[in-house]
Amino acid sequence: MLDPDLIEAFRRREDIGVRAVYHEYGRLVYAVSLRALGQKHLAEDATQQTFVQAWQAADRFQSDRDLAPWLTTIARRVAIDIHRRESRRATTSLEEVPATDPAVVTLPPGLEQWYEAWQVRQAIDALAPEERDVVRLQHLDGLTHTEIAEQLGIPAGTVKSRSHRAHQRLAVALSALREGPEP
Amino acid sequence: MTSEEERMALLAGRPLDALDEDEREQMMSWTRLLADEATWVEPAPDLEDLVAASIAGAPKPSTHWATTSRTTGSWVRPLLVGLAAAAAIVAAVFLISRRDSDGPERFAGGELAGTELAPGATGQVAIFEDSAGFRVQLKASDLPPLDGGRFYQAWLRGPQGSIPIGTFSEGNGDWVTLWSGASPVDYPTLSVTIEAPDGNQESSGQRVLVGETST
Repeated sequence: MLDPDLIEAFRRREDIGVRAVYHEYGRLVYAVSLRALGQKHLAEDATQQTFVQAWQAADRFQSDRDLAPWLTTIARRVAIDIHRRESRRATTSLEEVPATDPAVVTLPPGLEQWYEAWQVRQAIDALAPEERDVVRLQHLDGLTHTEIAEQLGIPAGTVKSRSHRAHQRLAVALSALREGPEP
Repeated sequence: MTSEEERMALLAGRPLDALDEDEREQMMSWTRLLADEATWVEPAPDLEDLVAASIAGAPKPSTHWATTSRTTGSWVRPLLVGLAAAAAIVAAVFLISRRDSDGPERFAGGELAGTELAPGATGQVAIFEDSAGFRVQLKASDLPPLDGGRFYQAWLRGPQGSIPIGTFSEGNGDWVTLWSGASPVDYPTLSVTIEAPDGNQESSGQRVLVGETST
């Protein structure tokens, strides 16, 4: 969570506040934008536009509220706008476009899991770095406790306790997500 | 190597056979996101500077007009005064006509598109804020007729989850009125699902319309 003084600095559009918000949420905005838009240069564009729009609206942000949901709403709309812009750019003539062409689809395909991906990434970013490393090696690389211990050069018992602690934190953070199918 | 099931159990904190079907589905979804390279991706180090440069080049809302007026020629000031007076008259006429019709100002709105379940369906939404909450006017067109007591349910969704905002039985182009106690700023995605009269309060997941609202 950001320091309240930095949130106030962000609301006043001061550089120190804006950079603090970027350090806290920049990776999150980029990762989820990349998932939605599928290309690095579009995700970078989306991240820039998201922070520009957030900066322009900063004085309207209510400092007693959580910044993350406010930012994800902006980022999601930016991703949709960029997807629509890119779809139009790829189209030559309306008559030549078949009904199944991606250009006529109004939402980016990666948007389906936007909120879930946002929450998972936010939960990962909230972990301590050493816990994050263990979770990454377990889930992304599929390594066992023993294999992680060998790779990190630490005892297997330490890996096990870090893993247990990290997954408990992840479970708490992710439990905020609604269960059941997405309406 | 660990299997997906072992990683799901790690995340759940208990054996998979202790989970019900919904919990198992949710664990699988999270586990797959955790195993996806895209979830872990990091931006290039220079992106922060690109963001800072974009902000430096963007107009600052509160000072933009003051800066402009200092750099413009002497003929611009009378023109701006005239335009401001004209705008004030137009705004006054608009406000008076709105008061006469006793209609509240639209808070948010948007367009909805049909999903694979109803590819030809379309929708429009207009949201008004009043003392009771948010009145959601929804016009759904070309939705398939439902039988067996099934009905349509509208939802607002945002980062905090989903909230049901009302039900209706036909999507034939007529406006229906729904209500939300939560702001569409926090719940910007509007969707419509087909529900069965089975007493289950959760969504069936059978979405027929979806779209974004904006203020």
